[in-house]
Amino acid sequence: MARRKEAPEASRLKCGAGARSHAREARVRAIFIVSGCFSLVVMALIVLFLFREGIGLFGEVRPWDFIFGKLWYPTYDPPDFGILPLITGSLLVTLVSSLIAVPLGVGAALYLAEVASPRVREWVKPAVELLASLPSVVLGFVGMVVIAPLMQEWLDLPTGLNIINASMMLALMAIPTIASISEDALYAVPRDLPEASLALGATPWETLVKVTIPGALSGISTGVILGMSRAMGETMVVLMVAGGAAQIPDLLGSFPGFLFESVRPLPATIAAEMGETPYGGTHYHALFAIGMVLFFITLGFNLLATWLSKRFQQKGAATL
Amino acid sequence: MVESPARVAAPSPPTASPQENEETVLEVRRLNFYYDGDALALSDINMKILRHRVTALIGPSGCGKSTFLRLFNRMNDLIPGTRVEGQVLFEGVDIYGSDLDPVDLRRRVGMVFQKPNPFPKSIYNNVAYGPRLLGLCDQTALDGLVERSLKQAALWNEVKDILHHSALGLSGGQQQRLCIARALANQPEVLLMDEPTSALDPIATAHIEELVGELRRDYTVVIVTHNMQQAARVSDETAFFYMGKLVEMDKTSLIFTRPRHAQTEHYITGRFG
Repeated sequence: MARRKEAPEASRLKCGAGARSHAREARVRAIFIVSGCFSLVVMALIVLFLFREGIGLFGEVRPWDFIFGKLWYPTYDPPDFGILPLITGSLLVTLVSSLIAVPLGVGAALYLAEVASPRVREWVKPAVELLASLPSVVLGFVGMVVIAPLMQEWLDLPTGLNIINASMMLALMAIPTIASISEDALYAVPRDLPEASLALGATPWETLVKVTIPGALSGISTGVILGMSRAMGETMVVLMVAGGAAQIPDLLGSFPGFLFESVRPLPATIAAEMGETPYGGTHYHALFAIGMVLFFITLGFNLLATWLSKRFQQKGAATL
Repeated sequence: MVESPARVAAPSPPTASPQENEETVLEVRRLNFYYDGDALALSDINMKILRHRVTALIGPSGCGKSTFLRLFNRMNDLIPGTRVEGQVLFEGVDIYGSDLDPVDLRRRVGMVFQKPNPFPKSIYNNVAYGPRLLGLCDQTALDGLVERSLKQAALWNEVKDILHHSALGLSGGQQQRLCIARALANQPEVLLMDEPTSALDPIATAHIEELVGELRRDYTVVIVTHNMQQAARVSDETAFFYMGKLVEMDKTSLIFTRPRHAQTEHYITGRFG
C-alpha cells in the first residue's frame, strides 16, 4: 500500500514536476494549431490560385456574357464563352437527382429509424453507407454501359446518355449521404418526446409528423443539402453519362421530354477540356472561371446547409 | 416469503369509508406481465382503483411499480417483446381486449412522466397538442381550453404573458406543470404520474404535490413515487409493491400506521429500499 502511494510521487519528481507537463501541453497545442491551420492555408491557396487563373478571362469576356451567354464554343473562331448551358445542365441534373434521392434517402432514414427492428437496422445501415464508398467512376460505368443502351433501346432514343440517366446515377451517390445524416438526426431525437406524444393519444404517424420529424428537421435538411452539393460537384458521373452536349434543353416545350436530352454540366466541361487547351489561353482561363462559378455554387449550398441547420434547430430536450 | 400476498390484499373494501361512493374506475385481475417473452416482471396482481382518489404506488426500485403504471395506458406496448396476461378493466372494459384502440385509451388516460418532457414548441402549442389531434381547431375554444388547463395545473399566472415563448425556457418545475397541463387539456378521466417530482427541487415538488391534491376533485390520479412522505402526503390509497408483487394495498393512513405485512412495515420505516 505504502509503496504504491510513493510511486507516482517519485515519477513526478523525476519528470521535473509542472514544467514538463506544461511543455508537453504547449507542444500538443502547437501540433493541433498547425494541423488546423494546414487545411485552412491549403484551402486559401487553392482559392487564390483558382481566382488568379480565372479572373484573367474577364479582360477578354465580359462577366455578364460569360454567365448568361447561351453559346459555349470555346474552340471556334471567334470563340463563344457563354456558360449558361453548362449552368443549366448542372442545375438540371442536380435538381432531377434530388427529386429522386431526397424521397428515397429520407424514406430510407425513416424506415431505419422508426420502422426497422434493431437487427435489420444493424445490417441495412452499413449497407446504405457502403453505397457511398462506391467509386463514382464505377457508377458512371454502370450508367454508360448498362443503363444507357437499355434506355436507348426501350425508349427508342437517339442517345441513352442524358439528363435522367446522369440524375439516376447521381441520386445513387446522394442517397447514402442523405439517408445516413437524416437517420442520425432522427435517432438523436430524445425518446421521451415521441413517448409524450403517444401518451397524449397521438397515433404513431401523427407522432412522426408532428414531433419526430420536426425534431430532426435540422439534420435532415443538412443531409439533403450536402447530398445535393455532392451531386452538384460530382464530375466523373456527369462526364461519362450526361451526354456532353452544351445546350439548354427546351424545358417547357417538351415537358418530360427534356429529361432525355444531353447536357454538359460545369464539372464535366472542366474535366473534358482542361487537358486539351493551351496553357494561358482564353479557353484555359475560361475553364478556371467555370471553376470559380462552381466554387460559389457549392459554397452557397454549404452556407445554406449551415443556415438551415441553425434555422430548424430545436434546443435539446427538457433540461432542468 | 409471504404466501400469495396479492390475494390477501384484494378483499379490502370492508373497511371502506362511507363518505364517498366507492366507484371502481380501474380494476386489475390476476395480472402477469413479462418482458422479453418470459421474464416475469409482475405476477398475479389484483387491484381496484377508485374514482376521484389519489392512489400511490410505492416500493423499492425495480419492484415493477412504473411498469404497472404504464399498463393502464398501454405504454408498455411500445417495448418489443412484452406480454400481458390477465385483465385490466377500465370502466368495465378490458383494455387489453382486442377491440380497444390504444390511441383512444391514451386520450382518456393521461400520463405525466418522470422527467419533464415538453415539446420544443411554444407553451401554447404544447398544451394545444392533444386537443388539436382530436380535431379541435376553433381558436376561441382552443384558447379557453389552454387557459383552463394551465389554470388547473397552477401555471397560468406564471405563463399567461409568454404563451408563445418556447416551453424550454421554463424552469424544471414549471415544465413539469406544463406537462400536467398538457395531459389535462385532453380532459382525461385518469391521470397517471410516474415519479413526477423525482427530477425537481423541493419547492417545485411542493407545488406539484399541492396540485395533485386539487386534481383529485376532477380526476382519478395514480401516482408512482419512491418518496414515502410524498405518498403519505398526497394519496388516499397506497399500494406497496415488492419484487413484482403487490404486497398490500389499503387506505394510506392505515398503510403508514398499521401495515399488515412485515415487509411493508420494514420498507416504510426505512429498513430497506
